[in-house]
Amino acid sequence: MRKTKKTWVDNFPDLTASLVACVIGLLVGFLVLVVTNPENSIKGFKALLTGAVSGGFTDFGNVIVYAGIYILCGLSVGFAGKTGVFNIGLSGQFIIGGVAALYVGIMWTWLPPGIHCLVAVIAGLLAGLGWSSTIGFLRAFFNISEIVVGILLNYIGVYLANMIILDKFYDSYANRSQAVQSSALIPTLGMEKIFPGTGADITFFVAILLAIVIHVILNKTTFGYEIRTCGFNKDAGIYSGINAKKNVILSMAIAGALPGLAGAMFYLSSSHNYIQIVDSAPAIPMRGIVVSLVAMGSPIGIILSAIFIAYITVSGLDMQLYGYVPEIVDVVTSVIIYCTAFVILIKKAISTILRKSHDLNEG
Amino acid sequence: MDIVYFIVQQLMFFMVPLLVVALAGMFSERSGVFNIALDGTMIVGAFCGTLFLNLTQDSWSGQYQLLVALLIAGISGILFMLLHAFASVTLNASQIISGIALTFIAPALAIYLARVIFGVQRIFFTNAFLIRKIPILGDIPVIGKLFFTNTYLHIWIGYLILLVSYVVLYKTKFGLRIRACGENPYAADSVGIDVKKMRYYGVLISGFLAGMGGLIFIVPTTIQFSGSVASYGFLAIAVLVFGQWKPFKILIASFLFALAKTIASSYTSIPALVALGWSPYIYKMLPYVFTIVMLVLTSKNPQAPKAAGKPYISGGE
Repeated sequence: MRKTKKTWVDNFPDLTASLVACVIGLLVGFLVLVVTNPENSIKGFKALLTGAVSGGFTDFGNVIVYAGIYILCGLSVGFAGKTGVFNIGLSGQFIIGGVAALYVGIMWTWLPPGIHCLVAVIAGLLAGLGWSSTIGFLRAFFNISEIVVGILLNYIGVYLANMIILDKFYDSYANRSQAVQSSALIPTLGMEKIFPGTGADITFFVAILLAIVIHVILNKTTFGYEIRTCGFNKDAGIYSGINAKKNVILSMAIAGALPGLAGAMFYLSSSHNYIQIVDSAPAIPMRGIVVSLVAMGSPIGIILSAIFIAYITVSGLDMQLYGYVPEIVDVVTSVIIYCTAFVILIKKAISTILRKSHDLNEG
Repeated sequence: MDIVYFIVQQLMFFMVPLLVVALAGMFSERSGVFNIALDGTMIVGAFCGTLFLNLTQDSWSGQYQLLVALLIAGISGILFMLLHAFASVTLNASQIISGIALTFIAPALAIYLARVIFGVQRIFFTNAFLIRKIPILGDIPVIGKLFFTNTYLHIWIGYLILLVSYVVLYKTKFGLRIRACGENPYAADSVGIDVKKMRYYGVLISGFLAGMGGLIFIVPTTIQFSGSVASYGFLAIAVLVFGQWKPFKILIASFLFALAKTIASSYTSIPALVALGWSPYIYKMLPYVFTIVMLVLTSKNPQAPKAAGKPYISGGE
C-alpha cells in the first residue's frame, strides 16, 4: 500500500510465483503418472500438455466454453477475497442463477427474441446476487463465518433449484428441466460454425470484459480502494471512516452476481440448455476457487489462469486414451494451489530483495 | 414403536461421523489452525480404510478387522494432515489455501488410485460388521432395543472419542496448552510452551479423528467407496461452529443436525409428515436451514478461538 502505482517490480514476482507453482504442479502430475503407469507416462503427459491443441477446433471451442465460466467464477472468489471474505458458496450461486435464467428462458415466452435472452441472463445475475447477499449480511451483522454459511447455502441452493424445476418445468422422461426456448439462448456470433458441437458463445468475451471492469473498479475507484483497505486491515479501514459492514455486503453481493451470471450463461448455452436433477452441487463453479488462487486474486491474472485450467481440463480428457483418469487434472491443480500457499512467501522475499535494489538504484 | 427404533438407529449413523469429525476440527482450531480440509481427510481415511477391508476380506472379517481398519484410516489421516501442518504451521502459509488444496486433491487421488488398483473408480468391501444385539445390554427393555441392537462397533468408539476428547482438552496439561495456543499463542510462548509443536499436535489429532470419521461414515451406510463422503467434512465445520468449539455442545449440535437429517431421509415412514404433502426437497433443505438459524441465534456469544487462522510468528504480532 506504500505506492499507489504499481511498478514492474511489484508485478514481476506475482507472475513468476504463479508460473513456478504451475510448473511444480505439472511436474508432480508427471510423477504420479510415472509411478502409477510408467510405460504410458510420456504419452499421457504429452496429452495433458497438448491434448487441447491436437483435437482441432472442437477441443479449442471447449476450452473457450470452460474458460468463460472459470473466469466469471474466479473473479467472484478474487473480488470477495480483496475484502477478506472467502466465497466458497459458488455452487449455490451458480445453480440458483441457472434456475432463475431457465425460469425466464422457459416460462416467459412472450418476450421478443433479443430481449428474452437479456432478461434471462439478468435474472440469473440478480438471483446469484440475492443468494450471496445472505452470506454478506450474516457475516456483517452476525459475524458468522462466510465459509460455513456458503457451504450450507450450496446444499440449500441445489435442493431449492431441484424443487423449482420439479414444480415448474420438469421433463420427467429425462429427469431434468425442460429445454430453454431458442429465443433465450446466448448469441454465438456464428461461433458454432467454427467450433461445431461445443456450445461456444459470447460468454468468454463477456467474461473478459467483466475482468477488465473489475480490474478498474478495484484499482481506480474509491469503492475499490475501500474494499482493498478493509481486506488489508479491517480495523484501519473502520478507523479511517470506511463503512466496513456496507463494503462486506456489497462486495459479497457482487461476488455472488458473477457465479449467478456464469450459471445463467452456462445453462442458456445451445449445447447445454437444461439442468439435470442431481442431489449434489455442480463442480464446475468450484474451479473458480482454483482459478483465483493460482492468479492470486488479480482480475487480469484470472483470465490467464482460467484459460490455463480450462486448457488442461480439456487436455485431461485426452489422457483417457492412455488409460489415465481425467481426475489427474484435479491432482495437478491441487498441487498448484498447495504451492501457491508457499509461493506467496517466496514472492514476498523476492519483492523485498527487488524493491531494495530498485530503491538503491533510484535513490 | 418400531418407527422410533428405526429412526434412533438411523440417527446414530448420521450423528456419530459428524460428531467425530467436528471433534477433529475442534482440536485443530482450538490449537489455532483452521482445518477446512476435514472433508479431504475423511476421504483419505475412508479410502485407506476401505482399501484395507477389501484387501483382507478373503482371510479376515469381524470386529477386529474393523478396528484395525479404523486405525489405518486414522493413521492415513495423520499422514495427510502432515501436509497441512507443514504448510500452515512450519511455513506460516495461508491455512485456508492449504486446506482448499488438500480438499481438492483427496477425492481426485482417491478416484485415480482406485482406478489404478482395481480398474474401476470404486472400492467394494464385505460389510459384515453389523452387531445385531449386544449381549445383556440388548435385553434391557426399550433402551436396549434403542441403543444396543442393530449397532456398529465404531458408533461406540465415537462416544468414547467424545469422552476422551473432553478429558484431554479440559483435564490435562496438554489440553490446556493446546487451548492456550489457540487463544493467545504469544502468552503461551512467554511461559515456555512450544506453540508450533502444540499446533502440530492439534492438526495431527485432527487428522487421526477425521480419517477415522471417514470410515465411520462409510461403513454403516454402504458397501462401496467411490471417492466421496457426501461433503460431511464441510457439515462438520458447520457443526463445530454451531457447537461453539466445545465437546458436549458439539454433541448436541450434531444430534440436532442428525435429527433433522433423519427426518429428511425417513419422513415417508412418518404418516403425519406425509399427510402435509410437502415437496421432498423441503425436508432435504431443512437440516441446513435449521443450522443457519441456529448459527444466527448463537452468534451473540461468539466462542471462536481467538488466534485460530492466524499464523504464529515467534517474536512479533
